[in-house]
Amino acid sequence: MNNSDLAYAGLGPCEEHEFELVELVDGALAAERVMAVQQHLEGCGRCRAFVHEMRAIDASLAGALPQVRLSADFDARLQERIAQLARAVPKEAARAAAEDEYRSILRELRRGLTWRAALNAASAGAVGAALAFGIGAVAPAALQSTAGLEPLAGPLGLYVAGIAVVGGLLAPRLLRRSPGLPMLG
Amino acid sequence: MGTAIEEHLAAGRHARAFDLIVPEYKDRVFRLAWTMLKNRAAAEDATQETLVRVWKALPGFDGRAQLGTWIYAITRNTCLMELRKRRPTVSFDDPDSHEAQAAAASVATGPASDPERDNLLRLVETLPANQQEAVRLFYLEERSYEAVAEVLGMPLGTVKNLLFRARKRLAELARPDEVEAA
Repeated sequence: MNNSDLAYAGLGPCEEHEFELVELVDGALAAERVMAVQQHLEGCGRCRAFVHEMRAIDASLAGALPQVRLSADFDARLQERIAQLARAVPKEAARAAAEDEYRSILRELRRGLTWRAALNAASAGAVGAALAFGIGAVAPAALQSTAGLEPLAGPLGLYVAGIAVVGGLLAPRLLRRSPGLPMLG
Repeated sequence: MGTAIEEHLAAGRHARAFDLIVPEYKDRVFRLAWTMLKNRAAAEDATQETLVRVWKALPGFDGRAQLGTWIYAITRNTCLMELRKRRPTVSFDDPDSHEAQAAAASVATGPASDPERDNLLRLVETLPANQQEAVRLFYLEERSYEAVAEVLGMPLGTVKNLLFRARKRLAELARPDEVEAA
């Protein structure tokens, strides 16, 4: 900056040219505008002072801002991570397949469970029926002797059948709710 | 996007495409991360994380966005997540804060202390965040407006305007009377 321009320092450039002046400093001003802006500069001390300031700031920033670089082992570390991920992908796929298989087995087991539960229910119903029949055979006499009631021999068959049906209906539900397959033996 | 990368992506050869993406984009990803995180080690970690995410997401890249735009968006998200982890938030806008001074010191590299350079870096820290990013990237990207616009995902005119206002402000702040007043 020459002495005459020093007087303009800090006054700021002409508003209509300031943007282009910065582009001129950056070497980014459109070619068709360079001549006109330079002609303006020749006659304008304020704009010359501004361009001088911009060039000084530009040089200072270029020198002050660190030119950061990736470390030398960056690529190797990245490759290692990617390789680990690539190995993990087949493992994940294998795990997904195993989980599918596991779910499939569970479905099969549930199907089996239903049949086996039905069988268990039938046997539970049979046991219940036998017990009820036994009670029905003994209880009427006892009740008759203590309370003077009529024997229950007549409706006994209905009681037995009802207990067997209820037992048969409830047993599969109870078995399905139970979490463990071990009860199936 | 390089033609070879496009071809590999179109053919579903994602691993081959990734092999070309890394040398093409890693430095710009790193510079963008550095401008956001202001710490070399954190920026390098973020660059690794970004590229790993790119590797994972590449099979889903549909080409609707420019590859570079997509990668820089992932970079910015990665850095923003890192910044959120750093809470309580460090304000770089307050030049007198201990954190801002420490941050300014951390970006100053080189063994010799240079008061003028350190002062200029402190002044840069007082700029709004978008101006700081633009300024840092501009000088890292060899003064290319286009590169800054691509990395920041901004129109060229916006980048020019940010750089203009940033340097005009720095010039004002750098004047002796302004520094004393600041």
